Amino acid sequence: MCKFLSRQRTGEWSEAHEAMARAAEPFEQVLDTYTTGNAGVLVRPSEEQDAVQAKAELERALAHLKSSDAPRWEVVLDESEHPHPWVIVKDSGLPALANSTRIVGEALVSVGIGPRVLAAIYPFTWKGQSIYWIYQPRIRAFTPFAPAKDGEPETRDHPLELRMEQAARKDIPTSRAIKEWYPIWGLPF
Amino acid sequence: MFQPRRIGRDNQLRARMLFTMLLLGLVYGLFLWFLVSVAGAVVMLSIAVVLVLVQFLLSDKLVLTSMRAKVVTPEEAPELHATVDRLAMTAGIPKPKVAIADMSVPNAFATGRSQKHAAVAVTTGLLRLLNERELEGVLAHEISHIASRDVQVMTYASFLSVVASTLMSLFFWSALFGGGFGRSRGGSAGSYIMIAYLVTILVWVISQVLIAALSRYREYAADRGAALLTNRPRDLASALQRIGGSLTGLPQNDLRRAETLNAFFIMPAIGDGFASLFSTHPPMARRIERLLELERTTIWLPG
Repeated sequence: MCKFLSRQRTGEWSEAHEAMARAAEPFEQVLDTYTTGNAGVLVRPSEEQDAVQAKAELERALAHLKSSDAPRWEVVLDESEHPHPWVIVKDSGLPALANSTRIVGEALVSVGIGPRVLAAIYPFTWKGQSIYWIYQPRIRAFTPFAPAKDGEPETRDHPLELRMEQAARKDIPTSRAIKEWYPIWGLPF
Repeated sequence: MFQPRRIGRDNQLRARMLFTMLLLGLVYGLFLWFLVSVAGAVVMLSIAVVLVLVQFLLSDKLVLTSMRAKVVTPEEAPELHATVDRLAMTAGIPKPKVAIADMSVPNAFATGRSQKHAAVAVTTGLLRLLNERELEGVLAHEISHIASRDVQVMTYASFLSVVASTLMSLFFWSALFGGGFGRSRGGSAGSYIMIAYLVTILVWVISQVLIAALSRYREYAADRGAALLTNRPRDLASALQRIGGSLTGLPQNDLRRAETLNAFFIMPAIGDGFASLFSTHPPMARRIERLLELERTTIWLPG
């Protein structure tokens, strides 16, 4: 019963990341898009926490995942104005990476941190350009993010983002609502 | 007339345009019949005809003046002239006048009653915003408006709509001052005028919707034309993206900051569907999507 409940609460998260794991083949072979081997889970500190406390909380929540066959992860703080903690997940190959990211998210949900998970970010490279798929639990979908290749700081390659969304639509749950396509600048990984 | 035809015509778009024009013709035909047989408004009709004719003949000067655009010589703007020159030649039309409007809003437009009396204008804001290739994409869009005689088409299309709006204000003022038209001639004449007024409003609303639809189709067609002229749909797509950055609704703020803001913006934007009926331009995102579709399916090759 308890397991069923927790599955229900993490259902969309789990399905989205399972879809990402299955998308490895079309991403690589059709779209020429390769994972960097990292993914990041972005968490908002709670009202009464500072960033350092939030980091410690995440480390405690994930402590049980430290073993040889559990996901490899570490918690770091970014350098934004109000620092946010990130769980950085490392694994080789998209299926394994997406699987590990799913497990980390489910672990956070099981200790009640779920509502504060803002996003999971998957960096990819496409023809030498960094592109990102951002999963936002709030809208239960992935949104594309492509910083301009040699542009000024904080400019986006929106035409490329539109193409990313069109191309990936059938493989992963994406949002077509452009107003949800938030950027995330200054990733700590 | 030379027309580049490397990419096939968009038959669906053409069919929709034709259908819209037919509908418009039908509405206008009924309205004309109504005006002559019921309201007998021949005098008003001829006044409106003269108004529209004057507007049409002077359109390039009127538009340029109202936008405060100044015609520039090749010496004043050599690069702009060179690009327009090249695009006009590719499109097979005489080179239009080139004008610059000193405005910070990024915009461009084409005007003129014929291909020989056409002008292309850009704002200084646009020149500052876009790079060379994006600017070329926008100029190609305006050049293909001229090549497909869009100013003329839209003038014909809006002709009776202008008549209807002129009549609407005439009815309104005559009703307001209680003179000539209605009450003095007794009840039945008054109700005729009332019906005429309502019909006129109806014609005006329907024709506005149809004209807006026609205009949207011609925008898509001009985007397509621009893609043909430059062979690089992506540049126009990127120009549109830059011009409409905030219009497309693409968030500019970081997700981490947005999350705290969201609480205040829960109300979804309303009125989108209805307002889009009267909008003369298709949504930026749709135009960008179509341009990129064009690029992907015809020119762009992976690898």
